[in-house]
Amino acid sequence: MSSAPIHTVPLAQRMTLSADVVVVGLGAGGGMVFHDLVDAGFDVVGLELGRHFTSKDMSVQEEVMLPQLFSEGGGRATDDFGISILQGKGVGGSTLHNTNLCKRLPEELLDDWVVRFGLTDLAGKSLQDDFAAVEKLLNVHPVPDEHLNRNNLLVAKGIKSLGYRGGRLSHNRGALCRQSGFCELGCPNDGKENADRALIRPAIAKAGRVFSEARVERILSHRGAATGVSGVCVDPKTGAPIGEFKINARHVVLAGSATGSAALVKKSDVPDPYRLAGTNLHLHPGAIVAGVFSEPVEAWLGIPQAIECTQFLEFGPKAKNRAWIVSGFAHPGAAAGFMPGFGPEHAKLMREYRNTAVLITMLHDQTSGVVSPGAGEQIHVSYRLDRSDYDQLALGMRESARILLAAGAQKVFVPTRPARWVTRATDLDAITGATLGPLNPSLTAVHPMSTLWMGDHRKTSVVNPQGMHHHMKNLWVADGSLFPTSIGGPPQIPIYTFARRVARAIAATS
Amino acid sequence: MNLLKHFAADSVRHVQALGLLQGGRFATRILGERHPSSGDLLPWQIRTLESLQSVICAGDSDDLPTPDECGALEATLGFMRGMPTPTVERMSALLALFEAAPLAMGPVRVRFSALDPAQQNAFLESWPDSRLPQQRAAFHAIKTMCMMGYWTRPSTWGPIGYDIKSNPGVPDHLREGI
Repeated sequence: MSSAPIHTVPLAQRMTLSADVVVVGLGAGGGMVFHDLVDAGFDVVGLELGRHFTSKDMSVQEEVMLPQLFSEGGGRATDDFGISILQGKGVGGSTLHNTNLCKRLPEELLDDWVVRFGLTDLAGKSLQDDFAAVEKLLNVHPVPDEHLNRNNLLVAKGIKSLGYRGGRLSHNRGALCRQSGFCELGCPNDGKENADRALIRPAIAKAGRVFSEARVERILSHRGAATGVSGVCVDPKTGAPIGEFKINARHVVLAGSATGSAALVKKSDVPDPYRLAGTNLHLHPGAIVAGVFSEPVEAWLGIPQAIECTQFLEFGPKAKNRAWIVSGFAHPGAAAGFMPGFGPEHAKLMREYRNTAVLITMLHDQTSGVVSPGAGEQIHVSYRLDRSDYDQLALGMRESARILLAAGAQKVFVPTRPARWVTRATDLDAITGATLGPLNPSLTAVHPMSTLWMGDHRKTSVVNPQGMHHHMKNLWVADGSLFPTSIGGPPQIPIYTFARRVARAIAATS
Repeated sequence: MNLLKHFAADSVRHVQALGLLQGGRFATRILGERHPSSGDLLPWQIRTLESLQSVICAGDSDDLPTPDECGALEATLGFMRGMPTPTVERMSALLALFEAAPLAMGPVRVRFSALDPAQQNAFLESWPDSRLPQQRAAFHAIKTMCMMGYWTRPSTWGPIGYDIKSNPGVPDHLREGI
């Protein structure tokens, strides 16, 4: 277990520390709590399962970076292998590999949460003020014209020609961004204002303590209140335990993601009289749709995701359409896994890689799954889409294909079973929810959420509106687990913002 | 061999009834090897992976290197070495499943790595679009591993037009190292 970057603990040594607050997981949520509470004068220890990376570690090699930056070496998936779940690991969490997408939560969604979950604090101006402050801290700004690459320009053209709602996304990229196109493998230029750069490093400079390669195994408690955590130092490559630690603290903050935090709660036997923890999982799963053009697209040049289509994305109880469509990209190693077939037939398709533009359709899912702990960092995820979500997935894939055809694609790949190549918009009607099923198509999820959700009633939610566990005092949650429903969009800004509110609540109780 | 066939058929039933991993672990046992606990693949699992990769990543023309020529197997093994032990153990179970599957499913009832390349290709053809989700899942997982090793080799990039060397956003020392 090594600290990043100011403390070192000898390997295989039993370590016991005390602090005001221990934060478990240092992604967007944990990073913000760590930052804000250190800033407020608290003695804070941050623990992270993954390594501490610098830009020098980011080698732009897929096969090298993917196992390091993702939980379970990039091999996490639902129990039926139907959905690959890519979650970040390392000081900075998923903000190390994300593509910097920044969106606030829409008002319709917040209104729903106010009504159904009693989150009355979210109705006022204070949440919007918090969003604005977070955006300022992270240098969030719309992607400028000169940074739109060919992939994004084609997507924008397709959306415009169909008259669909959509537009430019905002990013949290900094002055060092050189548009390398390697965002999802870790920026080699330190160009992201991610949790490590914007929050954790400044907090360490102010005396915050961070330990990486530390896997928390148990939440400690006494008389109904959290008192700390215990766990093991792990070999960063194999995950094998090589030492033990115990952190005593007045407050325990869980920020290890909607899978990790929920698994830890269940593993620690935290009181759960209504058996809610780990249920209500939403994955925001996505499918890729790829269009082949007559001219080069070279989607690897420039920033990957800058344009969205929101024509088919609605929120709240009356929402009819729940598909978010956003430009996408993958380098050849990962892209080859998505393309249909194998052998010479597949190689022939890869020759069109240079001329291919990609859209991803992500479901604002109603399906609920369940998280439970496995061995080591393994987590079991049980989740199978319900029929209405398959209908929405079909809608999203149809409309993604329509956008690419409208942009001038000669043919569009839709990842159904068997694989479908579409050349005319009239062919799209055949893609319906009824024709889809498990692994048809293969899906990828990068935004798990909702497993320890907020609410004002202890029978129907896991934590209170401030983020404290209903049944264990001083145990807090500050990650995507908090969201009562799917949020239907990129979660980093909402996670940063809600974590800031949790930090404020902790400070107020101390 | 009859006993082996019986066990192999059982492993396929395990896949259907219990899931891929249990079936793969069972297959590892019946193939006569200790289950690896170190996170390393057994030598026969590496041979299985090599056989699978040579079929899955076969090119369509001479300008693409064979997996053997470009070092794809070593790249895939390196990719797996970066994974935690339980993840590698899952992948090794899947490899065992592929190795044992021809024993149960035929038409030539030998281990996968003992089939000739044409037989291996024919055997794999039904997997991507199988009616069984578990079979599709197993193929997708193995294909992903094989493709990751192959298409990350720089010698495969020219024929598909991918290029890092001329990407001005990538730091010079990384471009020069390719």
